[in-house]
Amino acid sequence: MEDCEKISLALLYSWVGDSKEAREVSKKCIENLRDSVLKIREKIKEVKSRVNEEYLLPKALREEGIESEDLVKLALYELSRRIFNFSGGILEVEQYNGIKYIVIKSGYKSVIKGFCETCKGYNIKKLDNGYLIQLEGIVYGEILGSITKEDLIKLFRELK
Amino acid sequence: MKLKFSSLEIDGDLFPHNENEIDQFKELSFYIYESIKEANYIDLEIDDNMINLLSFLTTKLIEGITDNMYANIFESKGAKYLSGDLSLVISEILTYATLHSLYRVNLTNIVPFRSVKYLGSIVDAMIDLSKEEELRSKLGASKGFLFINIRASMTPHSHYIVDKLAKSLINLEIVRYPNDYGLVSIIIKDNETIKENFIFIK
Repeated sequence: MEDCEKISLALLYSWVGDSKEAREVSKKCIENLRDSVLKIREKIKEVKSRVNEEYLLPKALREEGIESEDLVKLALYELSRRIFNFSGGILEVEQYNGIKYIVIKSGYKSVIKGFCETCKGYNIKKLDNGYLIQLEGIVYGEILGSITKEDLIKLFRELK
Repeated sequence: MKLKFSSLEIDGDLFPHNENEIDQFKELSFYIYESIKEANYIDLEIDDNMINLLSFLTTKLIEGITDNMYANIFESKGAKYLSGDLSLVISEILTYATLHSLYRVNLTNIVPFRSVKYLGSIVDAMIDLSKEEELRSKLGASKGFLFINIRASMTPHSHYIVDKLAKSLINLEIVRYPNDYGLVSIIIKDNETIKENFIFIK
């Protein structure tokens, strides 16, 4: 299950548009769990068809050896499979000093989404025309109008 | 974003699991509903700046939640329908934001499972307690998982909430029983206030 511990990072990668990285993380998890998931699935199916009342299901599953951890494994596998299959095309993700980011321009404003592996804690930069926030490495910002790459990098430096 | 927050703890053994017991999830949910109605709420302020950032954990592909929040919560809706997708995403974000603000949960330690809930054997989200010290001490746990179910109700009506709560609890027990931990987060819109209740199951 260790390979799957980073599955939330895969969600973060796809959030900033880095489908390639998201796929890589989820692929590792899929490969790790593929064998055990089959058996878990079959067991659950078997127990479910036998137990009529839903409230008796928890105990029946445990008696057949399906523990919480097995149900988590199945869910992690399915989540990784979804991330792997449905991650979109590769977008243009930029990088600066360990920060992966994307600037989404939607007419009147620019949205900045990023992920910074070395950033910690909480930091916010309030601007006249928007803001940029960093929380435990997750970066998000909204700026009215557009922002140049140089100005954005200046802001990133202050966020660390 | 200002919220009214309250939490309570329930012993997981209260729920029926054996064949010699009868299904009393509805009754238990009603008791829970009664106690959250009378609960002492504290004021909780969620940092508005982190709301849009949390959208990486949500189930539906909706962005810019802060822009929609005001309309969803305060504005008179007239002839319009409330959007279910939106209230779902708002409830997810508020739950994760509260976990972060109150128990300092690291956001990347939250695993959102709602998009695979069709499996029928998993809940909305999970946190590995071995990575979260503050939550561990809150629950008096040494290890294990915290399984989270999130329910939102746009009306404070009892029948609606009791039904949702009962379903959530049964669903939670499938994966929590017998040694892990559970949390049902109920977000209720009551006129123009948002009430958030955390029901911990130990």
